[in-house]
Amino acid sequence: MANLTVESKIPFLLSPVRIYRNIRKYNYLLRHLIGRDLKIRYHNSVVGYGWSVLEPLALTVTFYILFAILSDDVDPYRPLSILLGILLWSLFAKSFSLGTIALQRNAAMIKKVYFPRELFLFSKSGYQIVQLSLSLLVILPLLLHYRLVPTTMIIWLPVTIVLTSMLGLGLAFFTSIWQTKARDVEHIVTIFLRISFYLTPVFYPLKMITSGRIPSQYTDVYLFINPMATYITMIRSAFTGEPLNIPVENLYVTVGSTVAIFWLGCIYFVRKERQAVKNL
Amino acid sequence: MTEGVAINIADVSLDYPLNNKGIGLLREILTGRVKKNSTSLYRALEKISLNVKKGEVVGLMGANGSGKSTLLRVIAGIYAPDEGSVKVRGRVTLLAGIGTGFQLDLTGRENIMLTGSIYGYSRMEISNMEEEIIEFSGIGEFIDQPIRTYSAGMRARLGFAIVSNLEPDILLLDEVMSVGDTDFRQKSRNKIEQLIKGDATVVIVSHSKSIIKSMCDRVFAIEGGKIITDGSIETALEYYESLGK
Repeated sequence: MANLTVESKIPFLLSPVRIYRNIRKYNYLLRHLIGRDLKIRYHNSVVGYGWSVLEPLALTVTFYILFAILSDDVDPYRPLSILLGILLWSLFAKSFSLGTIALQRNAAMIKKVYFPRELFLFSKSGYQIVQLSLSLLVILPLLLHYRLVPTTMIIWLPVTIVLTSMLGLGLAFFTSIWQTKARDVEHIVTIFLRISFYLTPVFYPLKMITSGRIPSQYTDVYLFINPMATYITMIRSAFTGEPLNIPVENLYVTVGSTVAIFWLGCIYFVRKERQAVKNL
Repeated sequence: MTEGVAINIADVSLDYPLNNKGIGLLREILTGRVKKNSTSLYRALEKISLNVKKGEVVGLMGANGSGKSTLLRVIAGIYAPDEGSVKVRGRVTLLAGIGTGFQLDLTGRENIMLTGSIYGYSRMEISNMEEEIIEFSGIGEFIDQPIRTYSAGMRARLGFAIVSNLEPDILLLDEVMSVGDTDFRQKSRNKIEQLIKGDATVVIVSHSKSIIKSMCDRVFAIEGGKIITDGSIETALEYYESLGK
């Protein structure tokens, strides 16, 4: 029985535990919200779910052509690399940007019924994961074409998906609260994502940065401030079986910072959410 | 919480943040703090204390902006009080205005499922109640059409039908008894009476004297976020009539 006022006795430092319990308790609602988004998105469309695949495909073709014109680098798996980059980037970018507006855009529902508000953010991320899984079907013919047989490296696939969602959500935990106060936040996030799209190896390989024109002493800094560079390289290796070529210490820092952002985001969200909904 | 009490509100105060602009807003976002007792806060509820017994029907009356809807939201757990405490025993549903945050592109049937799950009911429970809800709403064959094709009256009826048929322990009604045509109003009144008989606790916000008089056990008048009457129906109605003068 829902007894709304019994505050759980979990200290703020353990906010992720509290969020985890809420997600478990309301998992049927989470699934429902994800289903709602899918239904609405493909409602009244002829191609339906096909769009979730066609959109990244179109982008891949665009960047493939662009890259072929601009660079003479030879990546044997170029279409596959670009497609994976775009898919994982969308997971991050959309978890972050849709998460940012999740509270504000659902104001009507939030003002009528109480349930843990982090569900709105998780549902956006979950929806992106469903989309990503659908799009991964396109990868199969590419794998056949390149005669790539998944090796043990394939374990990087779920790892990167989880870490990427955690990064996007972790940031959205902060921005979604700010967005209830100032609508500028969503525009800042949009611009930030647009710039970082080009600064991240989404449609080019990481080695163009690490062994390119950037002095090597800066590449560590680059990898540190841009976790997505690492995760996109990871998901590529997961399928191609190529070594990561990222120092292990850098991996620790990247994964550590993602977990820290997620953790701090959870704490911030749990602390501020009750006051933030009054701004809606 | 004492036995037999459904809602226990003790010294509840609640502030709304007012819109800051420019640098003040930036500071507020970055520090996450609103200066207390400054012009940037609006006190919507001031030390409200109220006990509602199980099965009781309580009415709230007052001018627009007096804090009635805010109080219902606090009971529903939507807003956390800044001071004081709210204890609620049982499943609460709040019905305010038209619809319950319907998704316009989904059908009526899909919205029943979604609304039900938002209120914490399982798929099975909702399926069992679905036919009853559709029957009660009188939407008929339109139930499989998207909500955006519904008229305002149809949306309001569906909203009421869902929330009242979910059989909540505590039902909070904010200005919803006057939706739909005469027929539906009568029907919703009967439904509420039936819920009350079934031991539901009800809090009604209404501007209709007849609803208040015929349904409520106790009525409170609210002004400026404070309860200013003692619960007797006559005093509250007297106060309410004096407002118009």
